[in-house]
Parts: sequence; structure tokens; C-alpha cells
Amino acid sequence: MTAAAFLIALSLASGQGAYEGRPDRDSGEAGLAFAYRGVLKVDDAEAALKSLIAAADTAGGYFANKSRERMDLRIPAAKAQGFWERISKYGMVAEQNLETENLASYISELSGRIAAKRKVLEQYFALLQTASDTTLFEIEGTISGLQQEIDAATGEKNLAEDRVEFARMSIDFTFHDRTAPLPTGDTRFPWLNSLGLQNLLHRFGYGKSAHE
Amino acid sequence: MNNRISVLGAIWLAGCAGGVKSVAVKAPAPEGFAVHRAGAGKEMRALSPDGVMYSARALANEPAADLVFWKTAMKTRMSQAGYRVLGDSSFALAGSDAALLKLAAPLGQKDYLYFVVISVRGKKIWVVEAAGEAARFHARASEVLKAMAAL
Repeated sequence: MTAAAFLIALSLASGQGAYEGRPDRDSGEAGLAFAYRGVLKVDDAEAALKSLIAAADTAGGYFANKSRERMDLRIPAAKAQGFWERISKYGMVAEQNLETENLASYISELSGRIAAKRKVLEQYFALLQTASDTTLFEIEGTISGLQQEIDAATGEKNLAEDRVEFARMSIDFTFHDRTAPLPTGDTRFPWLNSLGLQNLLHRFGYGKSAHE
Repeated sequence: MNNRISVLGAIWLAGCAGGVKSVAVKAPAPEGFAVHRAGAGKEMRALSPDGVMYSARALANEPAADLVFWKTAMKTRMSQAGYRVLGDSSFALAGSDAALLKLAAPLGQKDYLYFVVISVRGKKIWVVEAAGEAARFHARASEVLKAMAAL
């Protein structure tokens, strides 16, 4: 089954504190799941981890995973936007990205599927009361299969509801994309081409300048 | 360590009355930085004990353009080169209008923060750059910005 989904990806400069076109968390849009991702540059990753975990706890959330390079938080959806806007106080936000997915129809569909299968299951249980020895084994097998399908669908539904209730936040302390910037520019303005990390490092005696 | 290390650089500034002049310019280093190379020509360099770099240069404003033009050109050039733009704001540099671009990029195994401030003064563009490994730079960012503002 496919959930009706839409995606909004926003990359913003650090410290601006607001998303343009951000979802209005007070509008009561049921079924929206939010996933925030960002890169936070900190001077002490361990201290930042502790602070963020404490802040998540205060907000009614929790951490799902943590390491020196990354942490994953679950924050109640109603508080997620405010929480995210405040992470800049723990470091310098180098990248930000927000994805939203509408899970309402998916959850509704799962609920319907579970209800229908439960109804069929009840009918099989009723049949079981009057089953003969020859059909008993077959009915039990069908009941077992139905129960597994219901359990699987219930698990999917619980997961989807959890994604709506708790926003996912992944905070990296290092860039995933390790591609270095180009060492020099190709603008028609020579002084601009002299900018850049590699050129600065070279002027301080580290390595060779690409601008030369 | 001196809190403010003044460096006399012979900077040619145009636009002054009577033509081109050689003007002694004080370029303070950030607190806790040592001057790496003092005023030889058009660049002052200072270095922190943990390797954060600080540089101030005066370059020719060629082609002649204003701050808005260079701010846009600089942001475009750095974005196209692959830098993440963390911030793009106005900045007061010793009373002059300036533009501050906050950038980040990975280089080798390290992530770097890289700040650039530019200010157009007549036929010269002041370019102040600071960079370092992200965690170290972040810890010194406020001192770097103070020095930039005092140039």
C-alpha cells in the first residue's frame, strides 16, 4: 500500500531561526510526520550530546541513538519546530533539512485492513466451534495466517502513528558528504578566486595554493 | 599573549586627497592569537595556538564595484565552489559597511568553518578571512568576530 506523501525540503542558512513555508504546527494537520535533519558544528560533541538529550527529555522526547558523530532524537510533534529552532544554541547549524510526509490515509487504510481481517478472524473462530476433524486443521492454519497479518498491519500502524506523534530528528556533528570545495573559482574577478580554504591554508604554509 | 596585537601594514589606499598614499593601518589580531606574518605588503596573518587562521588583506577593487555587487558575487562563487553557506549578513567593520559570509566545508578528515568579511573602501576591498577546524573555530568565533569588527 502506498501512503499519500508529499515532501518539502528546505535548506536554510544558520541562525535565521525560521523556516519559510514551514508547517503550521497549530493547524492540527493530522497525520503529518516530520523528519528533521541537520549538521551541528560544536566545540564539544560530548557536552552537546548531553545538553541535547536533557533538552529532549524536558520536551517529553528521548534519544533513539547517539554517538560522537550523530544523534537521533524523538521529539513530540507539537514541540518539534520550537525545539529545532533552538538547536543553534548548542552549536553552529551548518545544514538543515525538513521533510514531511502525510501518513493520514496510510494509517486509515491500515486501520480498515486490520478491522476487516479481525472480522474475518471472528468468523473463522465461529467456524472453529463447529468444525469437523477434517476441516479443523485447515481453519486453524487460516486463523494463524490471519493473526500474523493482523499483527504485521498493527505493527505498521503503530510505527506510522509513532512517526506522527514524535518527530524524527537526526543531528550530525560532521558532514556526510565529504566532497571538498573547489580550491579556486572560475569567476572573472581575480580577487574572488583567491578566496577559499585551500588558498588560506597555503598562505599560512599548509600545502600548496590552487590559486597559484 | 597580547589581547590586541597591532600590526602596521603598508596599505596603498586610493581615493585619498592628493592621490595614492601609503597609509599605516592597525589590524588587530583576535584575542589569544599570535601574529604569524606582520604587515609584509598587503596581508596581516595571525594564528591561534590550536591552528585557527586569521588574515586581513587589502585588494584592488577591480572592476570597481560596490559592496552589494561583491557580496553577491562572493556568495555565488563560494556556493558554486561547494561551500555550505551558514549565514550571510551585514557587518560593521570599523564603522564601515561590510558583508559577512559564514561558510563551512569538509576538507580531508576535518570539517572547517570559514568566515569572510569584505568592505569596499575606495579602490580597495578589505578582505578579512578566518578559518579553522570547526570545533576549534567555534570556540573562538566570538573573538574572531570582535577582531573583524575592530579592523
